[in-house]
Amino acid sequence: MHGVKRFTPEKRAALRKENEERAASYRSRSAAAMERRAAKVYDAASLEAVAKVVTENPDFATMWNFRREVLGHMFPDADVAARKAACLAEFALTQECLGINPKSYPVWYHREWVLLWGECEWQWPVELKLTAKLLALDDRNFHCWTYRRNVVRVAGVTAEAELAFTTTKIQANFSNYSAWHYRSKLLPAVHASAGAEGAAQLGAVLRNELELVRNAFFTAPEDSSAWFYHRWLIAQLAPGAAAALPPAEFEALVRAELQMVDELLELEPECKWPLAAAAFLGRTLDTHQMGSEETTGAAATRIGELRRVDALRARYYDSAGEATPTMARIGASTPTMAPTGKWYRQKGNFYSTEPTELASELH
Amino acid sequence: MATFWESTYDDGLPTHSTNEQLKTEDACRAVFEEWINPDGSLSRESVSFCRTEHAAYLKAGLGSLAAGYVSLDASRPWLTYWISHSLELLGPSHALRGDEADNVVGFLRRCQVPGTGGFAGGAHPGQIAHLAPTYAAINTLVTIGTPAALAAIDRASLRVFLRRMKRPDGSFSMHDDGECDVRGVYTALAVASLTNLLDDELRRGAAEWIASCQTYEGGIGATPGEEAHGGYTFCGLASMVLLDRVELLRVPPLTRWLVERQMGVHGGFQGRTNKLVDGCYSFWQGGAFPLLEAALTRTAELPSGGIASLFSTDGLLDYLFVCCQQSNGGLRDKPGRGRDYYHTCYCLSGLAVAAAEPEPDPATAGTRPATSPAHWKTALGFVNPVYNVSAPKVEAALEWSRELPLPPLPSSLMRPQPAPTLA
Repeated sequence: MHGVKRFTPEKRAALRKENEERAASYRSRSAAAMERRAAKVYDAASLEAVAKVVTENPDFATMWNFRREVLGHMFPDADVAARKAACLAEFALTQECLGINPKSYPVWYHREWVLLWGECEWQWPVELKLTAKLLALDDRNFHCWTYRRNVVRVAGVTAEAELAFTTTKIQANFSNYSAWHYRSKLLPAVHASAGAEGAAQLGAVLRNELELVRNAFFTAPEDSSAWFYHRWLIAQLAPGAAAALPPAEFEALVRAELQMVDELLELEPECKWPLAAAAFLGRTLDTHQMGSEETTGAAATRIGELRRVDALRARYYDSAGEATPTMARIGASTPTMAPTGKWYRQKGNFYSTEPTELASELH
Repeated sequence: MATFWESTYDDGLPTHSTNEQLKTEDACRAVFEEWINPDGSLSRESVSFCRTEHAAYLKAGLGSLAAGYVSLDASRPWLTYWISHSLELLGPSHALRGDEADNVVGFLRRCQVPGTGGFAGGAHPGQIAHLAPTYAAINTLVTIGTPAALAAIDRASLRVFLRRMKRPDGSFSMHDDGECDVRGVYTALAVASLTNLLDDELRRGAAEWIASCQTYEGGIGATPGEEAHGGYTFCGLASMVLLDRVELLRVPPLTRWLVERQMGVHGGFQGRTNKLVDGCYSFWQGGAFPLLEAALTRTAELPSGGIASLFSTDGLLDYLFVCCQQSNGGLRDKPGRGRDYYHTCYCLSGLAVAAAEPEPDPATAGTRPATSPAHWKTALGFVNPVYNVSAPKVEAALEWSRELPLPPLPSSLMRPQPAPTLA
């Protein structure tokens, strides 16, 4: 309840005045642009009027819609060469706005629209560089990752090239879960050839991936990113999955992973993620009827340790557990729910619709 | 104003390293330490709920509808929703009434776009309608709940707007010539459900599209292929509840993904794998648990301890009461950050969800005994987590809209969708 910065009254008054002036100036610019839209004035001055608003408030969707209306009217024919200068101006403006708010929905949307509208093939390399630059500043900006994926799609960048990009991102920061996630999308695309050959190829690559995550584990075992990715890797190699290994190979691999995790736990016995991974790997053996009394027992022990180390989730480990039969059935069943939202009545008193009894003004 | 789906000038530190995580944990620990008893336990009884201060801070925010908050210029109905919903949860003596409520209703009426329907982000004529402020406006009007507030909703044009936002693949655009993601489906369905406009065309393909946004980890991303994120996971799951199609999701990994988002050290939630805690996810993640519970209860698969056995409601209450409350009113993302209306709303909403949970059965309570004092558990009214609106107000709105006929769709108002974008 503490730790709040306090300003002096003078400082506060000055801040308020500055805010008010800024707001007043913004309002008049915004009104000017709205008037031009209402009057359907589609010219360079309207573009300028919009720019003066969005550089203050990039999230004003109406302004970006107006901009697209203006551009459509100013360049009505199909001559994309004539649009190039206009597109360059749009790229400059949206880049400025992304500097103000790198997570603005309408700005990213507009930039994507321009890329298509101007058929800006010449811009593709710039876009890849720009997204790389923004991801260097914030490697978890999912707007930027999504935009990059869309550019990659139209520009026909290969999955191999993007995989190399994620490798550099992960090498720069093992914690970058967004990059790990992207890898899970890219790897199957890199090795998309059909049939047993494709599966075998993917299988070999995924086994290499296990080496990469192993480095992450031993560098920062408390960092959850690579551990989540690890689960995905194992699941892809399991019998019945996309890159299924022969059962005996899969069993050997899971046992080797288990041994690696056990070694890590000798160094870091109190660390949550390797404990969870050991439990998961043990349960995986059970699921595929590859477990022994020893591995099943070890997994149970790991869950017990997990329960102690990660006390917040103790009840989850007890009642739901990791891949226990009960939880596995849930996905297959078909719940039926009242369509109106009245379902909360199911909770009895706790979601009673009677007037709520509030504690009196306690403090 | 950091929101997961609005302007995000300041959405968390742009870092994600273990160092930032440790710094945040230290900052929380320092705040907790102010409330530690000599025996080392947390003195929860001493931590009051600053009801009066929160109410005063929220009421002051109504004045900023007119000015200030330039960044919110295109999303003022959010402000009315964050404030009215928070005040409603604070109890009858703080809920918006009389002139204050009438002013908000009048303001939202001016945000409504005549003819083509929906609500714009401001009362400035000429602003386009957008699903996000439409959701915020309808939730505000339902929260106020007076006949005048409900009558302010123009269902005929709203239906036109919602149908125009529907896309061939089952998803929804946020506005004419606008982006599309899981927020679109959720806001459209929530609004349609409250106003009894949810027809087969709005339902068409929506559940399948959302299912395609679920990732291998189990959470839901903004669009197919994106990484799982707390805000979108809530929107996707709540949509599935509204559609009665939760079974299309893979529930066990979804459960695990949600369970893993609660942070061990301070009890708050993170929004994504390996991100820092943020008070707003107390609702986006915490509010998903009662939705999950509804699904699990129907199939008799719910663990015996209820959702309190899936996440630590006590841990979340510790984080909200101790780390997020400001003694001068309002709640915040995390220690060291300032309060704002967005975080105040979603911290309080998460608090309402966690406080409403029954104490876990001592037989299954595990190592963490029930700890929250009575004045924490009774601090707020009940929330309907599907809409994040006060439960009795949702009930009243559904009662109001139940008998209303489906308004006709004038074909002249159906403008075609623009060409699809890259995505």
